[in-house]
Amino acid sequence: MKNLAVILRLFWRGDRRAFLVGILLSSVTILAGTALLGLSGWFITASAIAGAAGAGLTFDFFRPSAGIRFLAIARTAGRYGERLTSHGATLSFLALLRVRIFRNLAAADFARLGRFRSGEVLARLTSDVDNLDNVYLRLFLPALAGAGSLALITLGLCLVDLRLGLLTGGLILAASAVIVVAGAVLGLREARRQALAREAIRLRAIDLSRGQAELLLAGRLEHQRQTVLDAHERSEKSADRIGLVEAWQSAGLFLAGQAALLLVLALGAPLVASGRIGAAALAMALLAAFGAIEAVTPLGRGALGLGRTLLAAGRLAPLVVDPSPDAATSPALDEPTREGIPELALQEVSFGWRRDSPIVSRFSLVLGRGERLALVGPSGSGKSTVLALAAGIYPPGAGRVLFRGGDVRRFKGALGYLPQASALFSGTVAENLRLAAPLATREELWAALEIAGLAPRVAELPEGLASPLGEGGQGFSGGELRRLALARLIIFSPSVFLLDEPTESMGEELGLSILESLFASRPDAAFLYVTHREGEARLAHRIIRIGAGGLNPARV
Amino acid sequence: MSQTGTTPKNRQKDPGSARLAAIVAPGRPLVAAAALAGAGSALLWIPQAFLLAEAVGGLASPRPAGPGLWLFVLVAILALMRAGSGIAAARLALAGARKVKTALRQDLSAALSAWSPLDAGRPQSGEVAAILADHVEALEPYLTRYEPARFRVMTVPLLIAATTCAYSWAAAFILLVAGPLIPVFMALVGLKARKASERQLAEIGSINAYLADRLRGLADIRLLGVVPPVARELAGRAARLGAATMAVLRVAFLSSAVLELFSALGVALVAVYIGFHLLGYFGFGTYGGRLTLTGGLFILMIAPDFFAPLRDFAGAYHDRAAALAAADAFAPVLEGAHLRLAFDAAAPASPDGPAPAILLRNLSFSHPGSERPVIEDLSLAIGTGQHLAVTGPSGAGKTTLLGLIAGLAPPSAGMVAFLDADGRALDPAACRSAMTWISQRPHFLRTTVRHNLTLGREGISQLAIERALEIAAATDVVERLPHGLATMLGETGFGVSGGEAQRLAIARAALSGSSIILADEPTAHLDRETAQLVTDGLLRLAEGRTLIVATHDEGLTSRLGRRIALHGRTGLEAAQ
Repeated sequence: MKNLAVILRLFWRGDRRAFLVGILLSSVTILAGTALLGLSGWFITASAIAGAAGAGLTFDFFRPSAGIRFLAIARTAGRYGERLTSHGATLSFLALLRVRIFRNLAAADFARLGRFRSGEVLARLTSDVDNLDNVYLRLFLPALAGAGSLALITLGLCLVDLRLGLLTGGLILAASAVIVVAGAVLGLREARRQALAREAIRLRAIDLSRGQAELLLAGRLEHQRQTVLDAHERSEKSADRIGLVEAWQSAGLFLAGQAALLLVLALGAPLVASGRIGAAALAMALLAAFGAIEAVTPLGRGALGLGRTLLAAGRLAPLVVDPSPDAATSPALDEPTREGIPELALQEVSFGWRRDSPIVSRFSLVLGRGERLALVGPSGSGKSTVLALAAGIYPPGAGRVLFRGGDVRRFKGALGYLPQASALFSGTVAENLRLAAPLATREELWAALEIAGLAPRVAELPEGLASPLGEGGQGFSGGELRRLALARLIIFSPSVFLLDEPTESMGEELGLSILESLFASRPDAAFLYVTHREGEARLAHRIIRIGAGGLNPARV
Repeated sequence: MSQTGTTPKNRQKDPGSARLAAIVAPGRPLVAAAALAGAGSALLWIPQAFLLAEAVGGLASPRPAGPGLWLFVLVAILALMRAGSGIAAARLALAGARKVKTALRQDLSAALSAWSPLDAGRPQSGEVAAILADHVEALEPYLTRYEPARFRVMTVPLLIAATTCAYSWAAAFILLVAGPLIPVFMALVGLKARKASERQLAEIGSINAYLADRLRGLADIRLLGVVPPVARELAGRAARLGAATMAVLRVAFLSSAVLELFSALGVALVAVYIGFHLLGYFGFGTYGGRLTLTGGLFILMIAPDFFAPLRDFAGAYHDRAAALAAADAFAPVLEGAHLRLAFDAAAPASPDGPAPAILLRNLSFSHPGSERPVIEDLSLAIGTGQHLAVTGPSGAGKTTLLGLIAGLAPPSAGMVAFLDADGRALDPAACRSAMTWISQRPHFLRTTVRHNLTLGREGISQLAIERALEIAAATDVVERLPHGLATMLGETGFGVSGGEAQRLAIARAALSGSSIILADEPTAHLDRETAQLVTDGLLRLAEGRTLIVATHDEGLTSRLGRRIALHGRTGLEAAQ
């Protein structure tokens, strides 16, 4: 429930007006509908009594019949208005929710960010967000509008007779609250189980598809298929239990409404018999109670999926809080170069996922302005890890990483890091490049593409810089995407370049020429780059060779 | 809204509907029972309403008579019956949906398992996941909400109109005019608007795609220090989407406003008519004599239930569209004629002893629907323990050749035979158990490293695993993982890629004990050093076993005993 409060607060921050107006209009709709039935009941009963008494012609039919027709139109208008505002509120919420999630995730540590390369993690997030989109329409709105209207209807019933009103209204309100909350609590655990089972179906289906050849020859294909069906069974079992809870929930709300009707009759009949209230008033109260049931029925339907919504709220609540301010505050340019202080320094840095098997052990390195340093070594010797540590991606287990004497993580824009897998986005080539510098001119963009060796490729595209990339950079080959990321980094123009195998997916000659032009274009920048090509290593001022068993830096 | 679209005649003409009907057939009886129970629950209101109207009528008469206990008891019993049939309806419908979903997942998974990976038309893994996990779920609201709502809308209003008519034909007339006008006006107002709104609502999905795309590259965005501008762009995009959607919804909601207006006005006009009739102004509308108060109240109380089924049906209308879309997604899997695996997945045990010799005779293969054969009239003999490299340019059929040997697809012509040491033919299906496959990009299941290496086979000792890792030079790969052999791999677990993945794949192959190893471009995408490591591991693995490698890595090819080049489909030998 705490998580729902967080979501509710988010709504409040968003389009407050639409949120409240939606509830108001929904209440108006419910009340108009109830009043329509109540007034009709009163009108018919009063007319019957008057007609039977022969006083039909003197009966003031004008106001009641006009009132009935007015209420019909009011109900329609209210419903239209409510749908419009509630959808408007949902759409504003939709925007706010996504931006909040983005900002909060962006502040998480890098190790966590890597998970989002997985299509499955993204699919789960997307589905949670979609579930939460409906939280206003299916939960808050019916609950708050229903409670509000019910209160007013109770008030109206109290005007007929105090005891009748309080007992009837109280019965419906209490019963609804208990039934809905009980259903939510019972359903939440099963909703969680079902969501996990559904995810398992997805993941096992992916395994079945991608691993088909391996599994087939190992004789395990049918087994894998069976695991998919097992997950299905679990999902269905949970769905069955949720369905049971919901069926009883609906029945409970229904019976509460029926009990209210009988209560009105039971309490009202002696009142009519003793002459305290008229039969027409009783008819009105009866039909108003009927309308009150209409107020809570949507909640019964909206409670369907409440478990799923609570689950989504639980998973997303931490991502929806007010985002904390950016941790890296000092722009690099503020920190001047000082004589004797290297641009980049790693001092006795150690790192490993497990304590007993370090990947990097007491590694040190200094890099001065304008200096180029190549990291060379066999696969898996930790070169990429050193680079990631230098970039501030992983916190070192021991030792320090310093930029111009200060902790590297404090500086924004000091280091430019090109990891082995760079992400490019849907959007145009120019948009992707301008991510690094929104105000970059076309000349600057072309210059960067020139250095990265991509200028001819982009020039021959029909729309040049405005050519679109698909999701994740679709439309370009692996090597081209790499060079595009490099061009982006060139535009970023950091003081220190950290490049992890920048020329992978490119031929030797091409890679060498690109590195040469890159170094020539930025003579003042410092470069620390990983390569396994001798030719490229020789472009550096110094080479650090890393042995297979760990880091044994040696100068060449 | 189109009630016309659901008549039996129209359904026959529409293949989509026929397809959907076939899919839901297993659950039909249960769903039909649920629909009956649901309608029954709604119709039981009629006697209840009569009793309540009777009670008020009795109280309003010149000599007021309070309702007797029997009335309360009867109303309560009817209420319990309605609640009971409501629960029954929900349970039956869910049971029916469960039957349908189970049958679907069984059929779909069987068809997808048997679909040959050599078929270019085979859906990608993401699509497979969407089909099996998400699209199947679309059948549930269709069966649990739409079908019962459709039955209710076809039965309940008519019965209520008939009941009303028994008391007052004028009141029934009002209902019967208001009712059918609803779909007509909804169609007039809403048809174009609904299409536009469906398109717009689909656009909302695009904001999710945009967010997902940015999240995928969140590390880069962070590193470039551009989180605030990207967040602003996201906010702006979502806001523009919201505004565009609202503009469309403003018109689309008018069609449902029509529904509300006619329903409310219908009830209102009935009330007004009855009131005026009872006052004596309208003499018409009954069958001689005036309505009683009981009759009038009764008609009023059942009038809203004439319109409620229409409202429910309009609300559930979209469920059918979603189910039809899902059925369309299933069609290519369930109905399409596509390339199947050469043999059933259930494999008999492999023959003992050394690797069988492989004999390819006049082997040809072309993709279904394609005229050009990928492999044409290829004959080849691969002896026990031979190491063979299959080279050739991209698309020349290297992977296809390996696939045909493995039985991933049947050849278009010719045959693949396996012979034992004495030259006798062996069962090809059994020989498949003697093979293992190493992909270009090895796939790891969403499970532990240990489970990925053993693929769930029982009785494999820790020693065997360690030895396999040694052969593949993958011991250090496992050591560097956060939890060693217990680390979870796969999409949502730890990622291994490149050389590390290939070495683990070789270890996996070593553990399988297979005597024939098929490797599809194992060193593609690897740098030279890593390729060397992987090649060493592969050759250690293949000592004493048959090894067939599709590759264009010259370094690897030069270390194998034999090579065959596929150009222009026919193999050309080159002695080594």
